[in-house]
Order: sequence, then C-alpha cells, then structure tokens
Amino acid sequence: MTNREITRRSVLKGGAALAAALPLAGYARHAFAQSGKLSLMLLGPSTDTTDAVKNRILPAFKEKTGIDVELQQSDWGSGFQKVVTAAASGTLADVIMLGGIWTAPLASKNALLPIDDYLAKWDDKANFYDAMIADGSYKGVNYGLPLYSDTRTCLYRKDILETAGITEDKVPANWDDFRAMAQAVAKAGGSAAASPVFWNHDKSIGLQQSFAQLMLQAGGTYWGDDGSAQFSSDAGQAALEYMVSFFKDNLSNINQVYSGSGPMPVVAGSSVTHFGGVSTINNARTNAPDITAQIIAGKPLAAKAGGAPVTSAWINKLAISARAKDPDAAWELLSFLTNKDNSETLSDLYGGLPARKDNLDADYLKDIPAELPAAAQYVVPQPAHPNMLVIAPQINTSVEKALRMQADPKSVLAELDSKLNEINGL
Amino acid sequence: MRANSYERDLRRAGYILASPAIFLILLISVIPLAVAVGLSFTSYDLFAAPRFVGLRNYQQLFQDSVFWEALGNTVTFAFGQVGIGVVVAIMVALLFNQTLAGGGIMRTLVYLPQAASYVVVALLWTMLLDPVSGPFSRLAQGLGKGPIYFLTDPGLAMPSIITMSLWRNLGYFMIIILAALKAVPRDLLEAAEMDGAGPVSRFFDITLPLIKSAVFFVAITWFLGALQMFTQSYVMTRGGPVNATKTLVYIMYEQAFSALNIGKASAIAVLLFGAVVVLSLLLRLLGAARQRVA
Repeated sequence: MTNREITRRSVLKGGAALAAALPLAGYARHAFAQSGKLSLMLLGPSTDTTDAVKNRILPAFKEKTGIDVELQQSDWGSGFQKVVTAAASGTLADVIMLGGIWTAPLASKNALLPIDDYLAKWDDKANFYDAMIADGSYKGVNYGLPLYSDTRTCLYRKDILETAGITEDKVPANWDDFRAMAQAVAKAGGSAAASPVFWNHDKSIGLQQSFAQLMLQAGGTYWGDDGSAQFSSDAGQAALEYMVSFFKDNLSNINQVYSGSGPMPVVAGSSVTHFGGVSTINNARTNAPDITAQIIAGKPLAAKAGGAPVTSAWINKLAISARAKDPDAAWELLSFLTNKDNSETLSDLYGGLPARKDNLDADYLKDIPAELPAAAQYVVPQPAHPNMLVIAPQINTSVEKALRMQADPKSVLAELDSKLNEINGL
Repeated sequence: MRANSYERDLRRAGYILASPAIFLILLISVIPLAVAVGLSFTSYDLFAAPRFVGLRNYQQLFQDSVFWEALGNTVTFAFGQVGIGVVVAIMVALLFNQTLAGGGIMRTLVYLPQAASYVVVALLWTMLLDPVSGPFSRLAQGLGKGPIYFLTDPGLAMPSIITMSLWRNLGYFMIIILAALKAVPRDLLEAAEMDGAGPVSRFFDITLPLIKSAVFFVAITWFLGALQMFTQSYVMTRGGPVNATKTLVYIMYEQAFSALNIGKASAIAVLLFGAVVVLSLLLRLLGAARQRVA
C-alpha cells in the first residue's frame, strides 16, 4: 500500500480539474440545447395520463416532426413554485402546463412567449371557445392555449333531494330557491341534514372559488377601473352575507373541510349540493360508483329570480417558455397537444370539460350530466391579475374568517380590500 | 528554528485539511446567509434585478397582522412541543431505563417514527385525524359524541400538530436522555436508597442533576428545530384554519414562492435567524452561569 501525501500541488491539480470540468458541463448542456429536443412539463398527471402522453402522444409527435420530447412532471401543489423558479433560472421546459390563474403572474414576469403571431396563422383556432382562448391572455397579448376547463355548476344528490320532496326538474335556479332547498333538506333529516350545502371548503382556495361565483352572480367585479379592489362593494357584501347565512342557520358546517382525498361530501352524502364539475363525477366513480347515477347537475345560479345564471371556470392551459430554445418547434408541440384528438384524450384523463367546440360530442362526455358542458355558456372569465396567486388565498382566508363569524362580512371585506390594495401597491 | 518551521508546516497542513470543510461551510451556510441578509433590504422577484429598498420589508412585516399571528403560532408550537416533549421524553426514558420484558422492541417502536419523513408522518396523521373516517373521531362517535374536527377547528388544529410532532420526535430525544440515564452511577442511587430516599427524591436529587446537561441539550435543539416548523402545517392544514397554524417559515415560503417577494421572505429568514442566535447565546450564557454557581 502506498501512502499518498496531500500536497499543495495535488490540491491545485484537483482544483484545476474541477475548473476544467465546469465549462465542459456547460458545453454539454449547450450541446443538448442544440440537439433538436424539446421538453414538456405537465402538472398533476395521473399514471394513465403519463402513460398516454409518453406512449401515444409524444411518439406520434416524433413521427410527425422528428422531434424528441422529454416529459417532465410535477404535482399541482408545488407546481407554481417549480415553474417560477425554473423560469427565473432559465431552465423552464419549452412547453409548460399552466393553472387557471397563472398566465398573468408569469406573463408579467416575461416568462412566457407571446403566441399571437402563431395564432393569427392558425386555422384550428376557430374550433376553440373564444372565451377560453381569451383566458390565456394578459394585457391583450395571448400566451397560452386552453387544454381543458373545470367549469362549475350546481351538482346535487338526486336521492337526497327526493327525500326532501324536490324532484329533478325542480332544482334551484336562484339564491332564494337554493336556500329553500337547503332548508327542506335540513328539515327532512338524514345524512345531509347537518350540512346540506358544501361550499367547497378545502385546504386550498375552494371557499374563494365559491364566493367568487356568488359575487359574479350578484353582478360584482374584482377590480374597479382604477385597479382598486371591489370586494366590499354591494355585490361582494351580498355574496358574503348570503354565504354566512347558511352557516348561521346550520345549513352548512364550517368544519366540513374536504381533505383532497376520499369521497367529496356530496359523494359521501353528508351534503346534498356543491358547486362542482367533472371532478365530482370522477370522485364518485372512484369512491362510490353506485352513487354516480345519483349525481345530477342543475344550471348555475342567478342571484335573483329571472336573473341570468352565472358561473366561473378554471381553464388549464399550455404555454411556451419565453426562453424556449426553438419557439417554432415548441409551437408545433403546443398545437399538436391541443389538436382535436389529443385535446379530447387529455381533457378526459385530466377530468375536465373540452376547451374545443368540436369535442362536445366526445365519448367520455356521454356519461356526464349534459348541464355540465352546457354551463360553459354562462361562464364569466376570471380576471387576469399578476398578483392573483397571492390574492386568491387572501380572499379565501377572509371569507373563512367571516364564515367562522370571527368578524362581520362588512368589516372583513373592507379589511380585504385594503389588504389587496396594499398588495397591488395602490 | 527547526521547531518553528515544523510548527508552521503543521499549521499549514491543518489549514489544508480543514479547507474543504471551511469551503463547504462558506458555500452552504455563510454565503447564503450573507445573501439573505443583503436581499432582505431589496425588492426582488427572481426575475428583475434586486432593487434596494432599505428597511421597507421589515417595516411592512412589523405592520402585518399575519406576521404577528405566525410568530405567535411558532412560539406556541415550539413551547408546546418542547415543554410537553421534554417531560414525556424523560418519563419514557426512565421507563426504558428499567429492565423490561420486550424493552428493546418497545424502544425501537418509540424510535421508529423518527425514521419516517415528516411528509409521510403528516399524511398518516391527516388520515388518523380525519373527522369522518379517522379512528379517533370514530371512537368519539361510537361513544355518542359528534365528529371531532382536529385539523379544521381553530382551537384544535395547533394542539393536533403539536401532538403529531411530539410523536414523531419523541424517540430521538428520548434516546439521548436514555443514554444520559445509563451513565448515572448505580452506586449513588443505591446509596441514596439505603439512606431512605424514595424514588421521587432519588430522581430529583440525584438523577435529574446528573442528566441535566443532556436535558438542556435536548430542550435547546428541540426548541430551535421547532422554531422552523413548516412541513406539518403545509401538509396537514395549509396554514389554516384562518391562519391558526401558519408559522414564520410558512409565511416565508408563501412570500418567496407565491408572492415572489424574495426580499420580504429573506427579511423573515433574517429575523428568524436573529431570534435563534439570540436564544442560543442566552441559553449558553445561562448554562455557563449555572456551571459557575455549581
């Protein structure tokens, strides 16, 4: 055995080797960038979705274009963090999936590539719902194509409604009807009597989403012309007071919080209704298949009798990184992933409604209540705002505070407006 | 002259041998800390270059009610977990210090949660504490009570997280105290027993003074770790209900990765670091003073 001494020379040699290795590593990365390969980041794909993308969609893209695509994936929970840090460090995938309210926060940081030039020359654009295409824009510039939408409407348990003497053709159309339905269910007793209405209270922003729907139904808007928050407006107050009244009158239970796994309250039968979408149907199929047929959909609510129904939708999109190595190839991939067949496959696997009009006859929609896709016509788009990812949890916390009766709705909303104006630098 | 040269060579060799560790410490501790301190005086969103804003981040934090709520929650968690935890760890260690049938298996069982990641333990406890399907709530319902909303009732959420964290960490700290107990000389305890000292008196007058350094170490390291609580809140409650389980590290995460306000997140990190340093120094001084008195 030889005894090797650590000499200054050997330390210097090691340092020189390390110094030489770093540029080599950089060169390797550069070479990879030039190799004609693209990367795609999907968020929250199921195993089936990953299989379909890896084994069917991406090989078909390679056959068509000769371009290999590396698939990256992340969960929704840490998705924004991963996308934003990758964008900041210049390592974002060429084509990325975006959550419903991510366009403005990322576009405002110049992390996304404008696609208006591509869209202008793209005939397939006509097959998308205009409102859904518009949802991918920020300050008049388009950054993303819709992949699928989570459109919400009122979903009910038919069997529980019947115990309260309400038949399928008499489901509520406005706030008063909705409240009367909840009172009838509470009076009838049974599993849903303690909390007939579930307001999507979860660990994320479910309460904010329900409140936003009510506020839009009451004719409210998030922001005034000067950009100031408008949650303490008459519409905002009416919406929050309406919500609070359910908790005051024991028509909703503030501690009923959906953890994100297992049956949703409507599927479990501990509530008769909530503002839900295809994910509720899928939840029933997974957790209580026998219940699936009992879930029916009504129209979105109107605030007053005779008023127009209003709902909102969360439209998940695909966009191109501003630093995409080959923007034309990235557009090829983006348009390929959102073509009729792939859009149908991905909408189905992600449990969403189609973003394309020509997919309304998709096979997977045959088992879904017709009122769900039909609710798309009542969608009011989510306002695009660069601070939306901070604002939404803030609204959620304020709404919860009011529902827990820690403060009255008026003061909660006034405080919320002031906080949001501070966040927005007003 | 030769001796001096030899000493110089020895010193140089020492520096060379220590240099990788010094380099690593600089790289992963000192430099990031200095960068965080610098960023705390800037407005920085990861995309545009940092812009110097002086003390604005700190001023905004001190005026933000959520920051004070988070600070209160962090301190509640740290004192709750460590206050109860140290007592329980001593009691369990005393139990395992006896000759017990199956003692080894029990020790392993108590230590086992430490081997699991916080995320796994938090998910497990989320299921255990579920108001509908969780065994605790089911038991309560079987006894004619209503469901227990462990994680969604503002009054129960933090105690539930403290309980879960205590269960997760107990084994590690118990082992340290057990090692100290094993080092307590038997003859001292036997002599005290012969002199008529009861078990309580033997514990407080002999055992506890002899293991106090270990207990002190456990309390400090557990407390400082508890000040950095994040995973439990993130996985089990997302900081809710209504901010009831938001901690300083949680709002730091929110500021950094939701608000992209790296400056403010760094300010929180610096304040937390300052608090940890001050506490450590105070405890160290306290320990030194007590040793001088002894």
